[in-house]
Amino acid sequence: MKLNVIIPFVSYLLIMLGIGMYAMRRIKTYDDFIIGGRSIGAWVSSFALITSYASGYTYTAAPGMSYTGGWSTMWWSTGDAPGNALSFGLLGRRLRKFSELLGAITLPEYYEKRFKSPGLRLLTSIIIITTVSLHLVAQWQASGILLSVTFGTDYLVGMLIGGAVVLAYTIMGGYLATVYTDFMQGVVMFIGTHILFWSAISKVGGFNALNDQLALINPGLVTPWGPDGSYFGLIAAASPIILIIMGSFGMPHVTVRHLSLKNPDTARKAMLITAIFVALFSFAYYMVGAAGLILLGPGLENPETSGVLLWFEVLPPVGAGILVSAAVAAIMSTADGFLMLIVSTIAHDILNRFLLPNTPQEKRIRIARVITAIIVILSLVAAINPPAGVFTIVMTVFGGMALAFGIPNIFSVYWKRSTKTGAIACVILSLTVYVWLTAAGIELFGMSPFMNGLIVAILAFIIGSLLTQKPGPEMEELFDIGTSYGPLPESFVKTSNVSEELKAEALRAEKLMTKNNVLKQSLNINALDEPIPTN
Amino acid sequence: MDKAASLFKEGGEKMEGSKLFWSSGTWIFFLVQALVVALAVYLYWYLGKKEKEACEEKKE
Repeated sequence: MKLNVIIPFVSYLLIMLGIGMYAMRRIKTYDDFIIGGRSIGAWVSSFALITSYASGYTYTAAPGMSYTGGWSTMWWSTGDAPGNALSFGLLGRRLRKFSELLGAITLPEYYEKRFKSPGLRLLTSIIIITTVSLHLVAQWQASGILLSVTFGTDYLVGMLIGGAVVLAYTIMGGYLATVYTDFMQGVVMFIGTHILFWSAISKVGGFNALNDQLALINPGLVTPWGPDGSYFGLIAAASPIILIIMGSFGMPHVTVRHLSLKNPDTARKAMLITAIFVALFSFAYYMVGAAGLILLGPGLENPETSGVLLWFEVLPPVGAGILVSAAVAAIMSTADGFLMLIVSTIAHDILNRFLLPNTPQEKRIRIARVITAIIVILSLVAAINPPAGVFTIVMTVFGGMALAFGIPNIFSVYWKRSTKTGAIACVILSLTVYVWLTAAGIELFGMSPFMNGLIVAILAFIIGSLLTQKPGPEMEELFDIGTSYGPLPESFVKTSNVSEELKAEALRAEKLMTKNNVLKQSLNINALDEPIPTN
Repeated sequence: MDKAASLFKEGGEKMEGSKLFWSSGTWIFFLVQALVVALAVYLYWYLGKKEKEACEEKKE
């Protein structure tokens, strides 16, 4: 039985490594390594965004929620499709255009250039590095738990397998490897989830039988309000939808997918693909836990294991092997997104911007690869004995990042009057208020800490912007071009779309020429350059 | 507290789950997913139209 499970899983891991090697051959420049040379098409971008968003949560917490909450869990699923799709259609299209106009290849760089604030770049970089590192630790932890439960291996071995494979393909192919593997991982997750869901529903006896049996346990499981009525009322029901949508607009490892789109119009196609696939996908991974409640029986010690236990209950060993691959795919695709985000932030936004400017391109790629290895090793070491309550911290941080980055992202491409003061106030105040209310367990005005944080974020951004001087005419012109339809004006692209490394190359060349001229003058050999008189 | 479940009873008796699914409006979750796809299709068409018009204007 074990071999039937192991073979599909090992095949999957080998395919991931093969993709890493393929991507490595396409890495020619530093931009290729960090952002895929802005060459990613609609299908790959769409699946990369979906899989980056769907983490180990997909096969653990999501089924666990419907195991205890039945159909009411669909409030969470309902936010997935509009969040992911509109993130492309409403935010991605403009973010891609603005980032090209500004010559930005990372989100902190975009914030610096859009709001003319190096301080904001530093602030957002520090927030990304600290919070996303915690997320990465949680992903290795999930990998360790999942593989140890499935194969009976040691937790440490399971964790190292996940970390080693992600490290190998990311260090080889950088951003390109992560999006190509994300695409493959998305296909595996989609197929695997549907095999499990429909097998479980079939074993229960169909949807009507599922509902009948759920109602016998508790009629509230079949209603949208949940067994204890916790989703009763507009705010209670809307909160999860808004949180999920804001996550799609704010989480930096998700929105960075917009910067790598082949062109702004690619976002339109990616939006359609995403809407269809997420609508068909998310209800299945959430609702599989409700089928688990019927097939496994109530009273599981840990409801989050319902999804994994169901694999072996309803599927043959090969199917379970595919599901293990799908679950590991969910973890790896999120982990590689987090990893690339930390690497690009440290390499591009801290080292190249503040500490080692004017570093040659090849050296930058080498530095980025070394940072990739260091981050993986450090996060794996942290995951051996993870900090207490790391999953709780990660879920808290998710809401905070959705607020701190989501609102500046949206306002920066939709409101001309946005200023750096508004953005900085939004980031600091929304994070502070949200973390404080969550830690203290306070629900002001009957709303969750996230909804309170959202109101603070919006008000801080608007008031902060209105109280300060409006952006100059140059930024207003850029805003008009960024929000218009059609291709970018050629003249603007030529002058603005010059990356920092090209500027650095130009600066070095200029310095060399100056040195050369000084040398010529000191040696008095200018006459050699002059044309020889013919008569 | 069985607050939500108590709202959905048929003549004082609890309904079958399959009937409760329809009468409590749980099916609306699927309608919303369909509407999101419809919205995405509309936006795809609308943004495409705007892009095309802008390209033609710039050519002229």
